[in-house]
Amino acid sequence: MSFFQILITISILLLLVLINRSRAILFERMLFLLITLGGVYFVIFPESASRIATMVGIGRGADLVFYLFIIFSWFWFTSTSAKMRRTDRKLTEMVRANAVANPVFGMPTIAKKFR
Amino acid sequence: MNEKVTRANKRTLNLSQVWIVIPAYNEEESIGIVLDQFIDKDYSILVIDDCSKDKTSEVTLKYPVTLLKHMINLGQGAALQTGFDYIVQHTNAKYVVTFDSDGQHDVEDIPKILAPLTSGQYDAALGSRFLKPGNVDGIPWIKLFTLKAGVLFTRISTGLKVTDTHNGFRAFTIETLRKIHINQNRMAHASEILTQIAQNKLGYCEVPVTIRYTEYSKKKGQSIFNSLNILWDLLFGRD
Repeated sequence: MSFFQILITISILLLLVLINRSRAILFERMLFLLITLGGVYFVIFPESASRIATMVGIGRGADLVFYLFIIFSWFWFTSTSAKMRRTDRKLTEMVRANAVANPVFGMPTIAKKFR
Repeated sequence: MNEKVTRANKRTLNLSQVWIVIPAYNEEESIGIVLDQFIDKDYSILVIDDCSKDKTSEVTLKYPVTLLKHMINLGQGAALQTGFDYIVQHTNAKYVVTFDSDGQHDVEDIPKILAPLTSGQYDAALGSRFLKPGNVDGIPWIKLFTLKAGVLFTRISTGLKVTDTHNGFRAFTIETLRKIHINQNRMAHASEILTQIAQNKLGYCEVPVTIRYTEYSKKKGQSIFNSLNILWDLLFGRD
């Protein structure tokens, strides 16, 4: 296992933990800014991706970009699903509050006394 | 403690302070049959319609019950918690029994499941279909296998020595209900309740109950594959 493979594995796991912990939107924005700037940089200087890839022991620049793409997709997926879970929870609370506030009573006159 | 128990025993139980919570989703065929069984009983009934697409609410309102309606479908766990919230906030309930709306539970089992609570011995009583021999006769073997796997998983994750984890027939004291909060909106709530019983160190016992595996309940019941969804919710559904 090369140094870069270890690094990339650790960073994937770290991202997962970070996403689940932090609710800070600033962190996400900085990361997306970084991705955008990095993307532009690699487009303007295509050979730089290969240089960095050789430096960290991956070989091809395309592979480096591919790995980064996977990491950032994971980041996007986990942060979005965490957000969805929070929204779901708020929605549940709203639906519940509405239900509890509006009880309907069935047929109070027949059968048994109702308290 | 002993003195308290004797005092509790001497007081006769006012059955209207026993609330039966029945979550229902698309049960127009069976909810009437279930509520018919309660007609000559004095229990208070609370039905939660989890945004059914059929006439569940209309059928329910022909009976002397309280009905709560979810505006959107949230799942059985959410429906139960809605019922618990209502009971804790708006009633003078002493005991709460959860009961399925598909007709697989027997009303005559309710005094049996209440007995361990009214005696003051336990905080929660859980129905088990496996404690009574010959009780699971109509059960398909694949369902039996899935249920047993669920039991094993729960025993390992909560440390509780239970024999049946996915049984909707349970009874709680009102104090217990204040300590429990279901966050699992769908079916994983069964294990979640047990987890919270373990975390709060509540006294619990199992009570043998009859489960009727009718064609209807088999059709309406959980598919085997949903057990994988439940497992996923338990492992990754925490927020």
